Amino acid sequence: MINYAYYPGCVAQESGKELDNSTRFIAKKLGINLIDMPEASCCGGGVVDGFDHNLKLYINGRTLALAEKLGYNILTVCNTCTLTLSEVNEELITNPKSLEKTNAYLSKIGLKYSGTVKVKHLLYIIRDEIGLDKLKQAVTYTLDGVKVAPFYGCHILRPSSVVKFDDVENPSGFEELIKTLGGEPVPYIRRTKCCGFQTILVNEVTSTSLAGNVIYEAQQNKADVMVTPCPLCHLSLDTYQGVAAMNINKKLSLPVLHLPQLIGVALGGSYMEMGFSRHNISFRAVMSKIKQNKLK
Amino acid sequence: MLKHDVIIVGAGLAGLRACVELRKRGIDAVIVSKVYPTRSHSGAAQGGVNAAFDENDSWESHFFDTVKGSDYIGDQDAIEILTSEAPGNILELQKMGVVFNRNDKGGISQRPFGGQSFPRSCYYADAVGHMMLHGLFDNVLKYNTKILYEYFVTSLVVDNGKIGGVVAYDIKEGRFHGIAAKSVLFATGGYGQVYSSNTNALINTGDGMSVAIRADVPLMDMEFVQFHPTTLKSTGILVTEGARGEGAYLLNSLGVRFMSKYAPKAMELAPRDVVARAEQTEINEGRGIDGAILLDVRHLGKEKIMEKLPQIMQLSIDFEGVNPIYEPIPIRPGVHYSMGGIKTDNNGRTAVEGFYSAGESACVSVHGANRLGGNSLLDTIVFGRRAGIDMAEYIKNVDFGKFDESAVRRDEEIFENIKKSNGKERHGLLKAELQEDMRKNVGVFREESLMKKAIEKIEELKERAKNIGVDDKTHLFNTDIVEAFEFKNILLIAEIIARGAIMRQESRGAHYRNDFPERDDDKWLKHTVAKLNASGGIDFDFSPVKITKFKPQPRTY
Amino acid sequence: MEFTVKSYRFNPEIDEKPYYKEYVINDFPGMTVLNALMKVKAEFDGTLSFRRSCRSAICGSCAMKINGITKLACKTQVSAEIEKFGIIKVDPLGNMPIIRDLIVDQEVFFDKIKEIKPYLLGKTDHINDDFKALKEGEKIKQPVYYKTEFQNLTGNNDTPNCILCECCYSECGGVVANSKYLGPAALAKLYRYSEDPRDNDKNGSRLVNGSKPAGMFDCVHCQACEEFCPKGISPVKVIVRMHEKAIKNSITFSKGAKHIIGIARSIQETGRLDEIKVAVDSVGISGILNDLPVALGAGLKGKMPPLRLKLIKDMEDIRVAFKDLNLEEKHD
Repeated sequence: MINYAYYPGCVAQESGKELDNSTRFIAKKLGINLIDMPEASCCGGGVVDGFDHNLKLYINGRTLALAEKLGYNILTVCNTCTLTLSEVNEELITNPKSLEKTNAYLSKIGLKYSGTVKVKHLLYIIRDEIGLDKLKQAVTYTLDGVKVAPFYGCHILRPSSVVKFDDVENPSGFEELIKTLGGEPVPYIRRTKCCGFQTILVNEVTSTSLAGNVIYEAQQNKADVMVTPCPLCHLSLDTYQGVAAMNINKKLSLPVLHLPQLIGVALGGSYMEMGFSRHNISFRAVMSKIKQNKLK
Repeated sequence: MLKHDVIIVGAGLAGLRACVELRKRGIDAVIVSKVYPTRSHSGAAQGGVNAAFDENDSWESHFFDTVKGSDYIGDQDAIEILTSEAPGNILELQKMGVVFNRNDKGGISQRPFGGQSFPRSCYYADAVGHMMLHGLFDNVLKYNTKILYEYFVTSLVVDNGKIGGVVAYDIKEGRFHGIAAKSVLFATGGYGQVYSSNTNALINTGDGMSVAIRADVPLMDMEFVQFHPTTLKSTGILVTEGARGEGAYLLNSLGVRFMSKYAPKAMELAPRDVVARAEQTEINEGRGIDGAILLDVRHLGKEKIMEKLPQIMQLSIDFEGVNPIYEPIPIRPGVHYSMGGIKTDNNGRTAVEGFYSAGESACVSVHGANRLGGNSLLDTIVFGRRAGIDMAEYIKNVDFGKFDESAVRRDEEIFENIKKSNGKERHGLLKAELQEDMRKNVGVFREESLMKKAIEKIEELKERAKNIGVDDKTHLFNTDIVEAFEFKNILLIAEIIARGAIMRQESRGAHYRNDFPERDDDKWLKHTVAKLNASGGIDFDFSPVKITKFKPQPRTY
Repeated sequence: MEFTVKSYRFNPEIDEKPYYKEYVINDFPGMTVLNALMKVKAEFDGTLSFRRSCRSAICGSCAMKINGITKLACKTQVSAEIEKFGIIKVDPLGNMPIIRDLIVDQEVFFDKIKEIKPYLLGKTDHINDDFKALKEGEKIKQPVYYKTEFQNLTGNNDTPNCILCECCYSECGGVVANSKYLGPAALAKLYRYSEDPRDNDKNGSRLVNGSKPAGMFDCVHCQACEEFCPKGISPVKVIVRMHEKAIKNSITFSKGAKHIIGIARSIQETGRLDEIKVAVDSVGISGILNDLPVALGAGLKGKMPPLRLKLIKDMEDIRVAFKDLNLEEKHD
């Protein structure tokens, strides 16, 4: 068992509950012990910084301090949470002034941060800590014959000075994982582009066009399913897929999965367990194909 | 045909500075540039711009340093203007938005530079040219200036000694235009591409100087070519003199600070001609490392390097694979600057009425036989400003000159003929041959026998150039044809440099003759003035040097 | 080493449609992609067209896509690209119309730079300002500006170092989404002037104009501008600083500013992101109604976020943070 302080982020606890559920499902199967942090707050996403930079430091410094107190590194399942926590961690470790003022706040609430916690996304914890071999051994249904379009999104790759998991110009972590599950990764250019979520409430038409372009390209490249490590990308890609189709004037119908859902299916999770009914675009057809790939 | 009161050709610092003066007076001045203004090579200047600000410094000291730096062939009335107007000009730029690093007293931060007796180079880290270029360009935008960018000027139109306008090739559309004007400024920069291993942009092909001399405007002191002592070994990319200003050492293969032998007092901060020769001597005598010597900044420490020299740190890493925090940088002398250029007076006026030049393309002359570091940016803003003001006055009382439109058709034909030619010579390859020959034979150390070889090569290339053919026969953004024409420009400049250098039988500033190692004030304290003759050959004449305050003395550092 | 340059080619004067052309050449130590393109042009094919000038990463001419990523050709080593991709595939910049081969039309990009008024506001343009040539023995007095006044403009990676190369613009997700979006370089320039102590912007017009649609709140935070800036500048970071500055100066008319305040308010009240509340705060009830089909679609699928959120444990901690930073009164 490997222990992690589990930081699901807000969306996985609200509209994207299926992400949380499927994460817990695969964690159990892969020997990851998720320690809950009920005190942890929202990271504030990419925008709390634009409200007040110190607020970003304080609330995320608090989360890091909570994990440090537990004695575990943080496991994330959201790109934006990963980046925000990593940015604050980097600043607190490299900038003594920032650490000093954050600790002044933390002392008032009985906490202290000394910079020992690492923040890592589930995708790269599986690749680096669990190991793809172990993942392979756990597979009960291979994704043989399934064309999977990995959608990295932004904040798990960029800026690479802060999130240093993969080669920002030519990432491969996702593809390796898909291959491990027996699936066929679909190559397409927009796998590392923006899903538009950040401006979805500011300018819906332009924002959703980004998600639309991503799905359209993957579809053109014959993807059966798209998978993303980020619940915000998932909202853009799945929840808003109909709106995106209208805005870019193309026919779109591609099921979009959260990363642990894809893994969960391969590890034997059922349609209900993975919460696929909560998605807009049905995964049923692909699912039944996978169900025929049961390993002895 | 287009028509504007003033045409500014070239949008580096001198051109933009003149433009601001004209535009703020509401004058119809248009910028014509073969690249977008911010691509101009002024932006690559790194180290500083000189002006005496400190209470213990004086502009008179700057004046003397510059005269001495020029090896006494700079015109002292012009140098007096350059140095006495320097502080005011810097403050003007600052008012326009240019940012300089600050010292603890709240003034502009200044660093030592070669040949200067006081730290008087104002800087913005090691990107002061970039800062000034973008700052001035922003002002040109403020005045909503018309910019014809990616327009390549191929001819001046002159009638009876008076300017009529220019012929320009719109690169994007592939079309020639006549542009009439009452006054034209050439701020077209230098010709570093005449040589291989130079610090210059690929666009620095001496176009303005070539076009001017073809229109019978004389060029002055073209044999004085500055070799910058510190250019990256593999690429010739500039490493600022500011590095030595901040305290960098020059080391030979024995790890010795060899400048003690050549300039015991000034050491690494001797003027560029002295340092470049010292380096070349070390290399020639076997104390170099693979054709280079070392520039060592390690003792300055990581913090100072990152704060004061961030660009050269990055350039060394990206282009030489060396991180100067941990390793010395392999460098060698490379062609950097043209002291000579279009002969002008102190307001940028030339032999043709209404036609001006400023900046590196001009020769006022403030740099004489050797320019001091930090004086070229100063030259561009002081004389760019003066030219702008003078043009504003000049156009008030004149009409448009005559513009003979056959000039446009003539240039059109030249281009069409190159396109039609089945010639097998490739201009890109001819250029490389010329550059390498000039480096070898008209370099840091010169002698008649070598330079005569260069002339032979040039004559050969002139013949072969008649058979240049281009692959690209289309109109739309045809860079092939532009490069073919640029080659003709650098070939002409190379010939003027080489012939002038053969003629000047003395050693002065950057012009060093193994066969005439001494300065000869009796015979050669005079400017060289080059013109084209009817058969396309080059005729030389001379003009006196203006000496007002400082009598020539032996020059040691 | 022998390697292949595969270049996008299109000359609308003679080509019906774009195509790729391959050139096999030999490298030399330290060869850059620009060196490779110049070698192709000089020796094999003069028709290959691209912009270039300084070859030392300061003029910004030679930005292009190299193996899919926008870079300056002059500072990109051939060997590193070959090692990673096995080829040098070059394409013109993104987000701009193609003129020919690797050359794009930059007019719109430069227009956007112009649009942000890239110069000091206020009276700085007297013709007879106090310029003077010094007389013998005369000194000049400098105006005093302390280091701190320029602290955001004199660092290595600060915005004045921008070379307008368009790498950021080519990779910008915001521009892909909305071609009218000012984009990272123009907004970095806006920041550069808004931080200048000499700028006489009395009524905060820079941030007001910057807050309009297609301005700084259209940034999608994709981080591409920072990632791919060849000069180490981070436009996205300064855009966020401008968000903060605008909100602190009560320039909150934009949807974007309302969105940010909505999220902060949600965190202040619950410690969480209240998706419904943030949506109402950002776009108002009418905006939500426009989104009803999406909301209903999500709702029917059981995806509707809970209407009343549970507070996080130790919620008081978060209130202390807001109180400490004096951020409370903004949420009356």
